[in-house]
Amino acid sequence: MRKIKSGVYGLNALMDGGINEHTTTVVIGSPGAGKTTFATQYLRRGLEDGEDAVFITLDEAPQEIIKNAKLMGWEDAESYLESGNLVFVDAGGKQFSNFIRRELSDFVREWEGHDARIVIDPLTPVLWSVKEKYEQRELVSFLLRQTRRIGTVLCTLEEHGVVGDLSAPELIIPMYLGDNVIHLRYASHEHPEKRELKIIKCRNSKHSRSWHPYGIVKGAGLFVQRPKEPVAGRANRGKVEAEVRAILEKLAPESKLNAKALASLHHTVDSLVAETAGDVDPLEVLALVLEEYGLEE
Amino acid sequence: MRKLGQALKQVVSEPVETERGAAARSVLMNANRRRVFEYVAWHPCCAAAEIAHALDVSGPTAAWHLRKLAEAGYVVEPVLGRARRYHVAGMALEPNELGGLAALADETARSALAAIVQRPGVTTRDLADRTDRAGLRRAVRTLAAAGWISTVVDGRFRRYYPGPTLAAIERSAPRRLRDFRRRLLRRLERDWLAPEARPAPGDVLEIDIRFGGVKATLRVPTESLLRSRL
Repeated sequence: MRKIKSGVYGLNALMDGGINEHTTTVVIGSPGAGKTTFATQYLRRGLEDGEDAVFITLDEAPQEIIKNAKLMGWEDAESYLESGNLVFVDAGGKQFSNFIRRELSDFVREWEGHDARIVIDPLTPVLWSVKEKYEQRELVSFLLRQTRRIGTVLCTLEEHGVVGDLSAPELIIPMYLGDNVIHLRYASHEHPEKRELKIIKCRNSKHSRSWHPYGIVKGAGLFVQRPKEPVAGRANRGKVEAEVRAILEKLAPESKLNAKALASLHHTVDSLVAETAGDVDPLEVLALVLEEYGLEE
Repeated sequence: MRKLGQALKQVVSEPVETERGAAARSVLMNANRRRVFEYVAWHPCCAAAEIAHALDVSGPTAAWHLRKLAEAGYVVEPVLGRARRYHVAGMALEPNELGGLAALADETARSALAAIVQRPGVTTRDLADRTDRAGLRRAVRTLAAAGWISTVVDGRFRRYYPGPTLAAIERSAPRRLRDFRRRLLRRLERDWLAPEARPAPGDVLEIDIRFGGVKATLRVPTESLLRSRL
């Protein structure tokens, strides 16, 4: 099975190299955990590799998602919209579940064999569009089975109630049916805020079984932190920045990175070097960015 | 080149349009037409004039609604000689059954058959007392030809009994009506009329349909093709 890069810095290493192609991934998290950011990074990575991307949004307006994506370092998101490689489908829960029941199988038959990246953010309203638990399960099972035939699917799920208690039926059903499950645990009430993620399952892969602290930083988005090392001093930054840029320029052609993606990575470097907030080590994030694109020396 | 995302967007956002559009275009939007449809469901192989009379609408009005229902595939218009007859789609009636049912469009034939079903062994004279004398001979001949009744000569009387067609049609009626209902519900679903069916007393199925703010109920038979005719 081919692995594709998740687009989330530092995550691929925890998933045996990335996400298996033509699988379904479920990302669970409470409000503010970074589900939509995760999803946009996932699509961005595919687009940079020349894949098609579909963002099915059931809550947020596409403009809002784009605005946030730009904030997270995806400067040229709009250009993919213009080229038609990135498409937003803005649907209601009922509307989308009607589509699943009535039209999905025909649609999949027509597009069978495509490798698009498909995001459903969030899946929760689709589940709520049917009352019976049995029907919910049927619907999700059908949705996941069908969509993975036309691409690699990522669904986000809202975590309601106590954070970490994953027993609600609207979580249980997709967790059982999805191929990969990632839990973004975000304790917003704690000081300082605590963000950790865990790969709950990852079919056909050797995956990490522990909790990993993660962060969200302007200019780069979601990244998984490495075990702490002393934070490099400010003086060091200029030197590392120069190194990183040199690596980018040198290795970009080899790793099939197109000019657009390269420019966007330089932009990420800009933001990270300027980053002063909190306990984020910009250099650590930079190292993860390089790793994501296979640019390590 | 068409892209997957754009195609998906089109399919997902289309139904909203189709939903309203299809419901608005549905022939069952019209209250009189629904009455005509129900009448046809309860009276297989009825004639337009009979419907007009029963529903107290003009002949051309009944014919217009029947044509619309037939065009939309809710009602079938089998060719039976020169007469136009109607029954609901999905019942798979055989030609000989059609002929038999069509014979019942005649008022005299209907009341004669009703009398024979009520009192098997009834004589010609009894029938003449109960029905329109003028058409009786012809009606009895038609009913006998279609197998609705059998005739037994008893001395100087002729006695009439329910015939094999009657039993056969009633025996197969629940199955046929089930097929019809299944097909009807699927069709209503496809027309975005959000059908909801529930059984009602008297072997009736009530189907609620909805479009926009309008709600209506269709009542269709579940057991017998003849009850409302005899």
